[in-house]
Amino acid sequence: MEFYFVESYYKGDILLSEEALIDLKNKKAIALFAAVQFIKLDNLKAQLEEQGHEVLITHGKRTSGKYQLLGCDCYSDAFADADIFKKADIVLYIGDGLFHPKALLLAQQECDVMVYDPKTNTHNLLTQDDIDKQKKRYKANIIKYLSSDIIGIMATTKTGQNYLKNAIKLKENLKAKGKQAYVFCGDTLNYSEMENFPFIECWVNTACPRIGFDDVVHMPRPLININDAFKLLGA
Amino acid sequence: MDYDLDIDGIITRIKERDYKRILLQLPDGLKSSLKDIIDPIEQQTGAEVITWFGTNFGACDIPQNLKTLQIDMVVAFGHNVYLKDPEGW
Repeated sequence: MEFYFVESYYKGDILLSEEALIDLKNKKAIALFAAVQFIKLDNLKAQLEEQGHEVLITHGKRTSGKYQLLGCDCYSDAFADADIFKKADIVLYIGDGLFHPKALLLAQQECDVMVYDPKTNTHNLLTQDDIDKQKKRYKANIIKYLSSDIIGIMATTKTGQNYLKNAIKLKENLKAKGKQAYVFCGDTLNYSEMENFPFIECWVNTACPRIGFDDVVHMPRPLININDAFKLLGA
Repeated sequence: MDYDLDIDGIITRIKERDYKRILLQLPDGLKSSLKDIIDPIEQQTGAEVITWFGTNFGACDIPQNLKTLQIDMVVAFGHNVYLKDPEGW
């Protein structure tokens, strides 16, 4: 069986409006990103350079497209150039929707994120305030994880998100710290299922990193991501 | 349609490889345009074209357990090849 990807590139011209250029005027170094549909950005890059900007480029480690990020690129070492945000004055995301630009806010705290939609030629600015609710809930969940004695670890059967090996490794590490840990698996993780296991004090997600941040505000029980679960154990 | 969905390329691929059964996986934003995609493919290839009725979170979320459906090709729109790090994240 063959898997055939159709990137579904946007067919229109992708250039910034005069209004967006004015709002970027005082930003010298711009880190430029897009979802795959909008990664044909060489003309836009040239437009920015003509205005005197330095355009910084990288891509998510799990992608091969120039300028491309995935929604799961929401933590600091998800990008090929881990220092890009330290060098940038602002992040510019090209595309529609908020899922991808929110990854750019979650991945770093140095820069605000301007979102430019080439379909409507409109732009707006996202700041850390826009993810404040998720960050506060996540911090509370981390405290709960540290004080929990019984941990549930969720794995998915989705091939691209399946890290059962790491789930089992975390279980072993938790047990070595005197905690009880149980591994669960399913396809699409159904959070209401958490309530059927009320003895689990905190959950750990091993599937998509965005589950830990976006979905966490809707979950009935505390949950953190596996990378943080390992770090907090000193593993 | 604002996006290049490569319908002609898909049709050519199906004909060249003599595929009989195709599965389309669409992101939510394209699901309402299904007829514009599936009708020409079915009409011009004669292949049986089925649409995935599940999630499409990304290239990390490819439909599984398709063996019993005897699918020849899955066409995943809106994503490109995903480079999974087997060690995790």
